[in-house]
Amino acid sequence: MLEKAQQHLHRFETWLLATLLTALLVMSVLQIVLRVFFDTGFIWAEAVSRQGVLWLALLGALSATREKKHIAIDALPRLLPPKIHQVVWTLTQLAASAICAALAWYGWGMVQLEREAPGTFVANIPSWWPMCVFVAGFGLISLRFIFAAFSKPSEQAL
Amino acid sequence: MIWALLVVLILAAMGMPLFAVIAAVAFIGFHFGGADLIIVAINYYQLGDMSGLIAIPLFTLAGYLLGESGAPKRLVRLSNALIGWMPGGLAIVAVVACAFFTAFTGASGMTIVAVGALLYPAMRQAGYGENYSLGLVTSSGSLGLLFAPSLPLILYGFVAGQLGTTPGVTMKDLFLAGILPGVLMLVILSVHAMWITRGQERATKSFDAKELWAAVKDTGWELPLPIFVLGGIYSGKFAASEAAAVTALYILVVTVLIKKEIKLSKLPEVMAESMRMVGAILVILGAALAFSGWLIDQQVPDALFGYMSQHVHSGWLFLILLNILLLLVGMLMDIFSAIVILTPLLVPVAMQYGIHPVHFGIIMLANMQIGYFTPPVGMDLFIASYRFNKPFLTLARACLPFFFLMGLAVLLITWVPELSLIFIPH
Repeated sequence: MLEKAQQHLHRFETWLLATLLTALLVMSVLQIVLRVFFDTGFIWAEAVSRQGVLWLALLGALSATREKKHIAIDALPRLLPPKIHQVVWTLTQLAASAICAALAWYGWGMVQLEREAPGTFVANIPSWWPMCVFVAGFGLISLRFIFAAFSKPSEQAL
Repeated sequence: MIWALLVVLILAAMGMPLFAVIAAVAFIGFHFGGADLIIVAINYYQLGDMSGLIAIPLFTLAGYLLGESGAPKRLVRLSNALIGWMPGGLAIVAVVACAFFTAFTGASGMTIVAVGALLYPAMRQAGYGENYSLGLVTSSGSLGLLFAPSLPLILYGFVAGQLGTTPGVTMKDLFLAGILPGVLMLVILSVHAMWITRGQERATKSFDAKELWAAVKDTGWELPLPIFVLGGIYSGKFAASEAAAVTALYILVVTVLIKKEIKLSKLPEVMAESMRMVGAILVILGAALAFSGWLIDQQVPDALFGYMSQHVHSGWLFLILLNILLLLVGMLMDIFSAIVILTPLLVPVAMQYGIHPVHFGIIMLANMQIGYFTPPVGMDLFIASYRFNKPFLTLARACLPFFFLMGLAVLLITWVPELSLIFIPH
């Protein structure tokens, strides 16, 4: 039951990543076509595409946490006996979780700060809205590092 | 502060993801500097406000799609038809094909898996020694880093561009600067290949115009790629991000719709896989923005230069120390983390010694390229060991001659700035 829900979640994640990437690609190409052939373009496209890259980064990092594909210096722990390797792995993943939690926490502080003097993102959307993605992103990554901490260490280089 | 940093350093050595390490250093730095730690989040959030950053996910997607398609095979066939008949031909084919492929895939180890795996058996069959063949395909896994649109080159462009130096660093300048140093590496490896095969029977293969034409037709869809990327950017018609969009769309259409080498049902997973790598790199870049915010806040580069200028009096000595430092860093750390950490720290110092920031970037990448195949961390050694089923140490030993060849190239690139700067107005 739980495993099935997890599979669905992972598939959803894959689709979300693919959809976001495709949307950004289509938008970029459309902007080029509009610029080159019609000498025009959407004013909101630049801001949305920059934000889109940040979302892609956070979502990709979230997925990389699950697949244990974060870049790390892992030559040393590889040499340790398996039991100690497991302890070291748990420790480092928990520490990473704490740091991501701090990023989410201070990200929330940043959102509060922005709300006091709100700018605009695009159209009528205030600038602190997309900031919430930063908070949610690192919150989820932090959570996932806790799960990773209690599973087996990553096997392969990158 | 020292104790806190020491704890983080130990965690780093034990394998904590590097983005968390860099973010932790930024937190500690700002905390002991008495700043409100919200500044770390604000600096990190700049990641969502960098113009043209979309080039990174789009070029990465293009590279992953190429790697999953039949392009590596066609590329090897074409280079074989073109230069396979020369003395040392197959080795030169390996060098050229790897460089081309790495430029597009950014040395993520994919070159070894996709191209090296084709070439290694072919070289063994053609009578090249085991050590030479292993060493060549492993050390060529990072060759081509200096050619556009390689990911490390683009990443350096963003980090150095962010520093706002005069003269500045633009993507176009970097792409131009990488050409000659990259070609120099190819030439050195090719000459070495000819020397290795000296006195042997000339390859039985002779030049075959028919095969060349067939190979060209076979590669027809991939051949215009360099023209999009390089022509578009060098001519000034496209920004790097636009070239990335056109390249990614083109490869997507060719591999999925025209050649149908990647099934539509497999596409989301390939996309997600490429974005995991992008995510892993970009969270490091974000952390580095916070880290360099602290460096600048504390005027660390100035202090570093103040200290160094007492002991290091000439640009030449600085460059030698730089080579040694980068070699050591390359042995321990991956290229992306090294770029984002060292660039904001060292570019201001290097400029005080009169080194052009574009030249600095090329030195750094060329130098770090060696790190891919030096123990203990060299990523390509692990990948090759896994792919060719050979012990890690065998591969490290096989790569030793290439360490010296590439080292020679790095020294030339370091000491002859014109190689990098000849096409750039300065």
